[in-house]
Amino acid sequence: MTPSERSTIPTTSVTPRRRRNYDDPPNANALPTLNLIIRNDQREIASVMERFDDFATRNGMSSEVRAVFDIAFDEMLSNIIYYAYPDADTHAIEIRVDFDGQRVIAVIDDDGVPFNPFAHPAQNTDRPLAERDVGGCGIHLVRTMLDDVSYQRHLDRNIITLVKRVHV
Amino acid sequence: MQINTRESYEVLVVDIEGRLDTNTSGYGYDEMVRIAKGGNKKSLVNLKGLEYVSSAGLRVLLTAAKLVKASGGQFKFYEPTDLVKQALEISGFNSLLSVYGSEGEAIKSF
Repeated sequence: MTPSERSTIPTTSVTPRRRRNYDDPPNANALPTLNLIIRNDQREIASVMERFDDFATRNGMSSEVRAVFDIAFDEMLSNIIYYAYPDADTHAIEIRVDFDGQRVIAVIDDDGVPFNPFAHPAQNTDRPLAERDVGGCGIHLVRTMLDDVSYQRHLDRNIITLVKRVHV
Repeated sequence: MQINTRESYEVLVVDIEGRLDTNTSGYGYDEMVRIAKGGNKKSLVNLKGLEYVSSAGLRVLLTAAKLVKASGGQFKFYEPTDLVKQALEISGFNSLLSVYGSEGEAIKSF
């Protein structure tokens, strides 16, 4: 694009992207969404669960769905916080949860080192514990308890998507 | 989460309530290790009130069970909720821990 072409783009049509905030007044047309940003600190996990539990309760999710996501957040976030950052800096981890009435979709987005947690082969639970990868246990729980899990590397971000269908 | 103990005849009953996850596993670990080292040969761990367990919590249960076994005692876990049962099965920990459907079954197995 030449500078003259660039100048023809009407700037007025560009509205800044804004994520719907948890505390925004409810919009009857919008599907329920929860957006959270936490620091890479283990203590933040409890606040994620608290906010998610509240979101789940307000949207009539079962206690099972609530607990499964709490387990998933516990496993995935502690994994990121422990292993994703070789430096001692503060990093932001973004969490977005959408509920369309049939599925709960949680997306966890971090700027840590590239790591696909689901690239590990499914854990063989028949093997004696001593031979097992204990760290893989949590990921195995998440993979089994949710309906769909996926990983994407997008630019410098790790993006984990967790999906569970709800029965209403 | 809360862990309480009570004596019932010659067995020690450990009631675990709430959620055993990364956030509570520090407290859970300390309490379970303290109980495991308490010298009771027969302990029943009541899982009825345990809402769910993550891998951090599973490790607490396994560590405590191993500790008590090393000192000649036994932990028998009973009445896990559906989600806890599921987590025990998925992780394969059900084959490493003694898990029973009811308190009666667990007592009989000693």
